[in-house]
Amino acid sequence: MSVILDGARSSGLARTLAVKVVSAVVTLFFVLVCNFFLFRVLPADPAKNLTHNSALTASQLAAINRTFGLGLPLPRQFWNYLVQTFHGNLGRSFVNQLPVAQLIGQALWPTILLVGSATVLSTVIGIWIGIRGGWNRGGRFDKTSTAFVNVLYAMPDFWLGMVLLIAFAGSALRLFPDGGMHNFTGGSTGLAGVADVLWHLALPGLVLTLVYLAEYSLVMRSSLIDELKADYLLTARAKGLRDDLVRRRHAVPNALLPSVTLIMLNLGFVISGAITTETVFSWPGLGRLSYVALNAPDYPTLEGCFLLFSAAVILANLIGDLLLTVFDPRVRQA
Amino acid sequence: MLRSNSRPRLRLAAAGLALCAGLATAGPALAARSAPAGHLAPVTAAHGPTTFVVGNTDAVDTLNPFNGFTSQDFEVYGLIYDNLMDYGQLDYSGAPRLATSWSHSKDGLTWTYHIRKGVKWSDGVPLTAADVAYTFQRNIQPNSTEFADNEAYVGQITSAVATGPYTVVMKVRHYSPVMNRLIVPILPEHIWKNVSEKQLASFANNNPVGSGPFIVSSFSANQSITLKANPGYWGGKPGIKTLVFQRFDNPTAEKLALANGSIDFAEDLTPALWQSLKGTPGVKLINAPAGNFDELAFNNGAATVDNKPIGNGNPALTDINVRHAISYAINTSELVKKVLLGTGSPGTSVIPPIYAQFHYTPPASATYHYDPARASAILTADGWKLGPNGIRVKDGKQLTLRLFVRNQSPEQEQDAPYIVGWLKAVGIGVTTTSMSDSQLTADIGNGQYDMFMWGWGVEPNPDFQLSTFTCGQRSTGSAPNYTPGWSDSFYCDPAYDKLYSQQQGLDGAARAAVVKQMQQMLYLDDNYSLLYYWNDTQAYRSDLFTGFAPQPNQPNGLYLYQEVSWWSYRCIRPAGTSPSLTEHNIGCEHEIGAVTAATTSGVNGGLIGGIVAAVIVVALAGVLIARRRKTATADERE
Amino acid sequence: MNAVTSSGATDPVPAPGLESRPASPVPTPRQLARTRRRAALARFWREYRKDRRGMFGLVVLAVMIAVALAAPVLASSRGLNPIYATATPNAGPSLAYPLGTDADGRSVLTLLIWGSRNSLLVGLTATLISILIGALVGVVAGHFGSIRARAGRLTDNVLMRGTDWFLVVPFLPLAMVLARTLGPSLGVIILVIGLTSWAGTARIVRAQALAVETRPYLERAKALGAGHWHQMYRHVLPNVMPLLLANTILTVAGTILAETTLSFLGLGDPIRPTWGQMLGSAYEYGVGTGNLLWLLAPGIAVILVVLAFTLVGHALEAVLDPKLRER
Repeated sequence: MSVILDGARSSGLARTLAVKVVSAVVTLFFVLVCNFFLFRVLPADPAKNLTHNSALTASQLAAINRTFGLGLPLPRQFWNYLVQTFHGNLGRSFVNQLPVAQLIGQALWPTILLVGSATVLSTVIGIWIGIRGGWNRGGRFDKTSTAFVNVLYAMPDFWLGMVLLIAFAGSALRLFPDGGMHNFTGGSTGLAGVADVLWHLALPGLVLTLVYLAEYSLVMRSSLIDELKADYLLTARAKGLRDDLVRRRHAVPNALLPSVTLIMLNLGFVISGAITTETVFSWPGLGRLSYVALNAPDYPTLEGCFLLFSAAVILANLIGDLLLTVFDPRVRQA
Repeated sequence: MLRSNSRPRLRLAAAGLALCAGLATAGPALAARSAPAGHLAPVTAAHGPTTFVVGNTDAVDTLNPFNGFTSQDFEVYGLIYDNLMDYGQLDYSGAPRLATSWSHSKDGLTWTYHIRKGVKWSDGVPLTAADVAYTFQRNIQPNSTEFADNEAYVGQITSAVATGPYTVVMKVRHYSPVMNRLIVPILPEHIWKNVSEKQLASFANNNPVGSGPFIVSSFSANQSITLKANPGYWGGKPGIKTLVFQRFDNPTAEKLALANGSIDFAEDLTPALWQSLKGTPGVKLINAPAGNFDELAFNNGAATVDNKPIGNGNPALTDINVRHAISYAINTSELVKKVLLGTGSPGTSVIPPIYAQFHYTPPASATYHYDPARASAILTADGWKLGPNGIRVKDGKQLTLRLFVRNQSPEQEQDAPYIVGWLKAVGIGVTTTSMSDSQLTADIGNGQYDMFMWGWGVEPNPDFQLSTFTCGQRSTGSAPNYTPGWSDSFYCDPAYDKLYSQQQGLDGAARAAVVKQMQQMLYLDDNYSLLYYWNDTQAYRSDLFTGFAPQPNQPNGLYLYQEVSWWSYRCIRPAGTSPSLTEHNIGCEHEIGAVTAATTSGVNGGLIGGIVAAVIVVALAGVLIARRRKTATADERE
Repeated sequence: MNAVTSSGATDPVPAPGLESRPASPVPTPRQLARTRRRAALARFWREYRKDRRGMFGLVVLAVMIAVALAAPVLASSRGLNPIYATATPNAGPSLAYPLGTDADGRSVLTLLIWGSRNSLLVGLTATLISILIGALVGVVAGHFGSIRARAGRLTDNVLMRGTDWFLVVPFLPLAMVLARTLGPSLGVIILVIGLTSWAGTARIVRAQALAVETRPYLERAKALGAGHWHQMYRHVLPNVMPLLLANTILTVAGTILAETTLSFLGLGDPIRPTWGQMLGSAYEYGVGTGNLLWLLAPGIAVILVVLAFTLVGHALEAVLDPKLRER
């Protein structure tokens, strides 16, 4: 869905935007179809899952199959699936029969909190590092930060998580909790509750922040360096404008736009990208939900998670595309 | 320079970090506030002294006792519901609970139970014999989930009638000693009569009404459950106010939580993690033999109850010589040493040694001890010649077997490469596949396996465990998806079935003899190669809680997660409180007294202080007594 | 005039009386091509050498690959079999066990050395699959996409929709489901990673192919009657190669990280050690008991290898595309 390559051939902005939205919807539908078949092809037997394989009577089996809509011909199941998904009914979990939509709803906020705060922090810090490094390319800050960022980029995120967990939660330091989102004896409400959550958020948030900022700073840096070589800067210099003024007023904002858009595009993936971190820190979000569902196996929940992950990416792509179209005149003509 | 652009951003970032840091440090300060005074406050002990938190890797997934499955489910059901009887704390005999006494007619076909008076359900309704009769009537409905769940206890009951407000009369088909041990949870009729059989599977029972010592206060399925003490419990008010069961994703996180005080009791730690807790101040370790065993199971001819063969098991396993060879090739002592780190013993027969009266010990000559040379000899004599790649071949077929491993058991996953290595050493090729429990159960039910590793928890009544080897517990139904029974060995021997029926009508030594005979049959036929009996390695904060009532009642008995028993929960109390708090509660006369923190090997200031204090006290006492003596002598002289 | 022959030597001075003979035969196109290629390679190497980080990465890679190849010499494979392990489990470093032992008493160093084999194998093979599919899809889509005819556009669109799905469905969940279904083994992991990571390459290749399609010599080839296959294979592909090469190296970094993640989540081969599997086992069996080396060693190894591939990849990009130089 890259704007630069697919490019709409219209002149009107509205038409361009409409085309993009339609394209996103089409992709979403395509994802729905693929999800459905992917999870029907996999061997699944909710009856065995639910009842943990204790002896079932034929009528009990029939009842369970009816609840899950199995046993119907495939086209019928597909139609039911489409209609139900449209109404927000994502089926019931194979493991505990709770509505998948409810399970996902409960897990959505923790993931957004974790991933959102990490994204905000990593974007801000990453962009700052990238700008500072690219500004004085080859300087001491640039050399150190690039080395540091390259190492971070090469690090498996769960490994970083485990190291931090041991260092801060496991050893004598004990500065942070060893996992979870709340103190499980619970009952902390109000400000104490918020503080409790933030305290549990610290380590996993730190891990994701470090992991994301590596990529963002690299992107920002290279886009700034590219921008600094642009012709208009040469012209501006020739005209006698002060170097740093020009760079600050024109190069950085111009460089910022594609990086922010690229970050936006990445945003869609961060929801699923937190799977390993959530697992290491037992953070009760979507990533952990999908990992637990994978092991059960709890296909309706997995399917629901998939759908959400894909929808997040499509949405983020769309927003990124729209941002680029609206704010970057160079792209509009493409 | 770039100041104008970067400064606001930098400031924002710095502010964000500072906020996070500030809140992060405020967190422990807020948390440590409520830690018990007078000892090193663990950073995360944010729960009060009367809240007891148990950690486990299992969780309660449903509060409907007919749909429960995990060990955690049953641990909780026994706390919110009372059973008719309990397994005794000393010797697993039937102990009164809701039934205060019982008797049976001369012919053994009519049993009369007297129900405790003055018991109330948690919603205030009085508990009467009608509830008991209703519960049993429901449980004996043929082809019902209730019957399937409780068959081992109610299998012979034909009717249960309340003949008075506190008397229940039950009739049985023939004399069944199990009627002395009816460990069946009693449910309130006024709630459950509104739940039909059809609705049973989807009835969540999220606000259970029970008569037990604890009441559900909040429940998050597959995560945690919080219970509060039932202050009006007929058996005595529990010594703790709040009881929390918290699920952990993995044992490592659970161990960390116990070490830093977020939980008070850790269950299901791996042996290595358990051992690493040695020397942690305030933590006591328990290495309790339990009714558990892990086995390597064979597919020696999977078939349905109609004797129709199913599945794709390797026919080599139907040859008893191959099974014997495998049993001789495995070094179970090594597994106990390396994987269990000594917390267990090598396995032989299917009723674990903790049930001393029923356990069968094979004679040394018949035991499958580690003997790879013998294993090789058996295979060679059987016609399996070593091929060029080290795998044995017979009639053109290679001896390669599939081994299925459960991905939910760290110990069994650690066992797998050992088994592969030992079998390879005698010429048997093994390919391993790890899978989830439900996938494995499906494969077993369809007979689509060669070998797998799994385990059983055997309860004090061996009936259920023995029933899993009867012909009638094999799969039923038709291709492609058979309905599994309880049998995962597909063992079928009419002689065994006869003995099974026979032991149901016997008791005491006579029954034990038959049960041992049955185990001998199984052992000689080698359908399971038992790996080991593993101990329940528990750990708890002895500096915070005391008053446990182990079962069997000895220092290395099980403190919690007892065999279908819940003795400790009624008795535990915060450390430092008087035993009188709970010692009059039901079953607490055998609780363990206060345990000092000096159970660890480290230098303990408390211990030294205590000794010094004791010395001073003794010295003072001595002085006082000496003084008294002098006075007395003076008086006497007077 | 001395022609430079393929051996690089100049022609011998003609014998007396034979001055009028032509100095040397005109070099064949193949010889010319070979000469040009060698000169290009030499130029390339000179440029590459200037990049210090690229050289560092190359050296690390060389050492890693050497260790992987020499594994049987460096550590006996018997050390991988837990039934022969007699050391104390989860022990600290000692002379015999420089990196300590794992939960079964095996030497962590042995596991690390043999693990390098499997990790690199998975990384390289999965990348191969990914690149093959990605390049194929990208070249075909780009080539047919530049055709004016509707059939061509349709092919391009269909291929791109398919690519979009693979791009939009996040890699890890898809890989998890596939690995769980197909069963844990090295082959499955390779296949899964290869199948789920080709989309990015396809897009990049397609973009480059589209650019290449507009070049004049391709139009000439078409006018001369070159078929689709010929155009793609002989013209588009070679011009896409440099970009593809750099992308390949960078993809290896990604696949190695992907393998560690999948193995850590328990989807890898339980028998053959890879670094990811070591990390997963270390977390499950070692970390809680204080065995940190078992966790740190493979982690650092992964960082080094991924870093090396990344640095080499970036250096390659810089050398091959002057615009990217001096980054």
